[in-house]
Amino acid sequence: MLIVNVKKIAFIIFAPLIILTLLYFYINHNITVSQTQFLMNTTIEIKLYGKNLEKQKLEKIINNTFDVIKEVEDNSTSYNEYTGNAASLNKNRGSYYQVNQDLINQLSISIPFYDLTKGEFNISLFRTVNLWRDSVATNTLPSKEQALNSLGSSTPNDIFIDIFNSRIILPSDMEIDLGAVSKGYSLDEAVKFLKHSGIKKALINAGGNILALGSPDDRDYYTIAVQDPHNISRMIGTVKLKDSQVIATSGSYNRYYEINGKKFSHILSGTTGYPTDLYKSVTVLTNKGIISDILSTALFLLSIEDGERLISKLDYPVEVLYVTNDDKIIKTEGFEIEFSKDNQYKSE
Amino acid sequence: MNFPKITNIRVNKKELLIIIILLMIAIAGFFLFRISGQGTLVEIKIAQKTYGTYDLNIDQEVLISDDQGLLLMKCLIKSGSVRVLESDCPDKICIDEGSIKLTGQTIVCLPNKVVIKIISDNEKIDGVLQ
Repeated sequence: MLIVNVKKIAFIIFAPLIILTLLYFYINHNITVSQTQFLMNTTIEIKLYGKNLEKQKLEKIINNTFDVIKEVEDNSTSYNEYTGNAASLNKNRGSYYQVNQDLINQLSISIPFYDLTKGEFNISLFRTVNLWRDSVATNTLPSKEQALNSLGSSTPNDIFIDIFNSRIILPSDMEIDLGAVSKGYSLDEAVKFLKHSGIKKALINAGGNILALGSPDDRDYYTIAVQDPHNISRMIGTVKLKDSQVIATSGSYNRYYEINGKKFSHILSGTTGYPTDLYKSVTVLTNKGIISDILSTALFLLSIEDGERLISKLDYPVEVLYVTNDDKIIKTEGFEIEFSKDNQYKSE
Repeated sequence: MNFPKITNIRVNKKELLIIIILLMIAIAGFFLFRISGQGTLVEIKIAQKTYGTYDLNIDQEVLISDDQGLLLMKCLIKSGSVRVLESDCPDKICIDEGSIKLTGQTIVCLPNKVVIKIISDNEKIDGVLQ
């Protein structure tokens, strides 16, 4: 006859079962790790979605991703000189100058947009930007002529890029400013690094540019609130941002030059050197950070018809939403947005 | 066929204690992993303008800086509550306020024009496009 100790069996079965279940939950339970830093002249938040067990690894990856962004910033800035960066290139005009790869990449992609936008999108506006900064400091409005003169006679088409040796000849009457390019480009570099580190789900929010990698566990999209240009604590609506999509906004409301109490948009026309205010905001949905950054600025400077023409020439999926100065919303058909119930805009 | 004979069902004190401890761990674990899904947010505003919105359930340090990038305050979000760790204001009242955790509670720093408020999010929002 077999004598069985029930207690013992219960213990042998249930104790490990409970411990294993708990362990499973502890290891497998989904967490979000996020960090915010002030870089590229804006607050950047990186959010990673993963398992509890990987927490320390995720935190380390976030820190390393910020390092990647910081490197792009240093390589692209026109305000602090580092060997081979934009500020040094601006100093070493007129002859071959060895630059870093980030600069070559950004220039190669952004220069063609000068012709595509009939000169409106211009990366050689460093002197014009400085003219406006000085004007804010002295509180005097620059004349149209001053602004026009600050553009110089060379255009971005005159920049010579020697890709094989990573060298550039910058025309001697020109200085570049990648302010409308490098934030978006840094997102592409950041996501490249995240993928390389084995990350499948991440959301990077760099002020006016948000990039999605993968999606949260319970949905196949991230919900992004699009801020109301009138009232920052309200939103126009929400957009579903899917894997590899980027959304970017340019607006006259959040950054401006204030002179004599009057606010001027920080987005300068490449043909006049003066700020434009065709729209309250332009929001672009596409699949590359650098393209989102360039287009949100370029489309802000172009009429809706010219913008359409520009998009049709590009081999990227692009959807656009404009908030016009008379509070209308004009958007491309494929731009899916769920409007807030209390939003004050009329859709067209 | 012989069925096993069941004997000795009485549980002694030591075993009871182990059972209770295991049960307590299980219950604690259950709550720990359930509760961390709730969506409550910390909204930080400077001079009425939204500076940022943060998940109250994600432990993090938030640095608040002004337009020029000058650091104003350092906040800590930890275990579902938020408090001010450091501030460059003269009176430091915001630090003395301690930590807040309930929806609607606020910490105000008048010299810095900073308002930290706990808000609930009906629809879960992953990011705000500014």
